[in-house]
Amino acid sequence: MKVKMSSLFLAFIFIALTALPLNAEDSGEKITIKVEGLYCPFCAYGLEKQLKKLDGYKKVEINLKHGVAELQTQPGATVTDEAIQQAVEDAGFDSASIKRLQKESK
Amino acid sequence: MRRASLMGISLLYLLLFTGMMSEAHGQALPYSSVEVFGKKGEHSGEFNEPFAITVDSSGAIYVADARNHRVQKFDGTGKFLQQWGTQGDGLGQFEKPSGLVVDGQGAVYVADYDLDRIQKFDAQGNFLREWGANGKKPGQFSSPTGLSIDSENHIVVADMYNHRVQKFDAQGKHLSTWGSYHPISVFKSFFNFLFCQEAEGKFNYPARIAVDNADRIHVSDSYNNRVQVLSGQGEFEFQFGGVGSWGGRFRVTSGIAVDHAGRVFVADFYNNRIQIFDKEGSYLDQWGEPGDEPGQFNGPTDLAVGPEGNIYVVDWGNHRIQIFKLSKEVK
Repeated sequence: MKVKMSSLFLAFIFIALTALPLNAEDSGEKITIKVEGLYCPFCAYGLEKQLKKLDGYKKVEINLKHGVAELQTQPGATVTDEAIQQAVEDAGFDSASIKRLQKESK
Repeated sequence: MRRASLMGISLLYLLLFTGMMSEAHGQALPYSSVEVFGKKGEHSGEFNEPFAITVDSSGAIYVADARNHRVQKFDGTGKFLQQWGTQGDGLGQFEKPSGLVVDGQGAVYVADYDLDRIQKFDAQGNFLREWGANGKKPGQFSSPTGLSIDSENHIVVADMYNHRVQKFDAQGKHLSTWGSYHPISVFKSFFNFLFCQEAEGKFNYPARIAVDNADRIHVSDSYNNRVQVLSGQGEFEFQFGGVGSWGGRFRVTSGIAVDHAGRVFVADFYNNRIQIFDKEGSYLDQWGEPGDEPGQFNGPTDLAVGPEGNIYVVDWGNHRIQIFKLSKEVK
């Protein structure tokens, strides 16, 4: 029993120590947003403008060829689907056409 | 807002007008020569999404270089002269310069899409004043994109996301506001010859604007795929266009300019062409097709008429400017 407890303790210490650097290197989320009708700069700039206002915004890139906006968030920040949806609506697009295709942490 | 309209446009385009779109093919081009300058980059004379253009009375060219957060000035042949602006919201800085106009004294007015303001500079790029903030009240903006100037040196602004036009004096004092939001369905726009005209003096994302010699205001009513002509007092006079790909029709009107004869030049964004209309709005001619060769476009976002009558087009997706000398037959 003593051996098991000490093993668990050591495992806990190991996980805690290895997790710290991962959190420090968290580069935030990369969220791909599919927006129907995102084809010209007059409206794409509007979407970009609204996404920049989101709490946790770090960077946004619009790909008109594929009709997507790629949103990079700040480390540790959470940007909800609802907030993104509202930004898309504020930019004049149909909210129902948003798709969260990718959500990952590096 | 645009999913249904663009799907409708695409469907109608494929079903009904694939045979009509090549109307201009085989006909003489309305220009006799074309010169191209600029490429993608951040050095002087290069562009990263050039978005707007204006030409002063001496023929100098000013380009709003949107993603490089600056204004660049060239001579009439495209030779780089100077630039100003860096990224930021301070005086003389830009986030996204989106519209330009030069007044009779050589002052340059620059709209900023993201910062919702107009800045005024002298011809050397020295900051003079600014006005505007985000909002819906008179004098405020929501992504101003188009600027023009009338005979009294009043600045007319296409306030795109507020779906309206505003007029200011040269010091930025608000004078007038006209217009409100009214989208026209793709069906009604396509078959507008069957319906009574609607939404006169109302807009659906007006992107560009041009004042003619008689102070009439031509508004590129972009997502209504039409041009509306207003009096200098903002009263609706007439309109032309409607969605489509044949001559006289548009798939998102963008840049607009009027020459000394009153002819109206309109950049047709998705059709990748420039169309010419007479002062009553009757279709005259067109040129352009998708591509990156001289005379081809990848999303023209603005145009201007120079003092010699040449047409300067912002070829947004190709990160370049094209200068067209019109044929004598067209002149």
